[in-house]
Amino acid sequence: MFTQTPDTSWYMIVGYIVFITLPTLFIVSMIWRHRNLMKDEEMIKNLLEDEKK
Amino acid sequence: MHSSTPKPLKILNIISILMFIVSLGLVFFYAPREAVMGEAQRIFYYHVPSAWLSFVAFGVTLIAGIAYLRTNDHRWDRLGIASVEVGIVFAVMALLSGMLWARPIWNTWWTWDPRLTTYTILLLIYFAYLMLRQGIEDPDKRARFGSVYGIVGFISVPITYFSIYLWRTIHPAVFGRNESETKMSMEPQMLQTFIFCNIFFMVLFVTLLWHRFRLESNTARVEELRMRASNA
Repeated sequence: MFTQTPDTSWYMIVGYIVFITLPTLFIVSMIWRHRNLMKDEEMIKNLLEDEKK
Repeated sequence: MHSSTPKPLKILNIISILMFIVSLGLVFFYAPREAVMGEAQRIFYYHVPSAWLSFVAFGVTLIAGIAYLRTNDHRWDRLGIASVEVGIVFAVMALLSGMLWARPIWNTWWTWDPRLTTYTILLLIYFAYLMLRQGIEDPDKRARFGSVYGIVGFISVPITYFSIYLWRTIHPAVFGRNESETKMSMEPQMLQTFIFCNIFFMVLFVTLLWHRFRLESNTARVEELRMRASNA
């Protein structure tokens, strides 16, 4: 017996939003952590130079 | 100063982006619509590689853990934690997309099926890895703990993988010992799309892991600098 293919597009769309969003958030978090690290490094280096003076 | 992005990693970035675009093209415009499940079946092309690559990620942590305990080289520990983070991203993707596929197909968002249950436990084990690590100040102790945890935690991976063969389950088997076990048949376009998506995810995994490893190396360097500053 022939049955009509169900419309499950909404689930597919949300699925691909998940697939795109999660790695993007991970990449953004890595960039954000990297920037914070660079700021910390700069600050610590300045502190160490001040100590030497 | 931190080193600039190495050329192979830059090339990997570009390949990942290109493969991502091509994979979306294949998924939405090349692979035919599955007659029984409809459009939701297209979730499968990304769901399966994200699931098995999470296993690979935790496998890398296992190897890194063993290597650290043998060598005491902190680079292995950095690789271990980097791989856990990437693995968690892939595992969350697999779990959420699985739920989105299950709703129209199984008529429920969630069921305590052996595969789903063991996979959730696996995910919680590796979430705990990240949280417990953060509570340890001493880098050597933290690395030793991470290595042992990464080795012991890996037991959950084969349990999760073989759960569909060990217990009664409604989860489909993609990789089986024979065709009747996999319960899956694919049109050639579907199979080509599936293979391409798997290769894309492998490239994406290596790219993300490399970036995360570099970030961890920078973190270790700044931590060392901070300790030097506090001792000065």
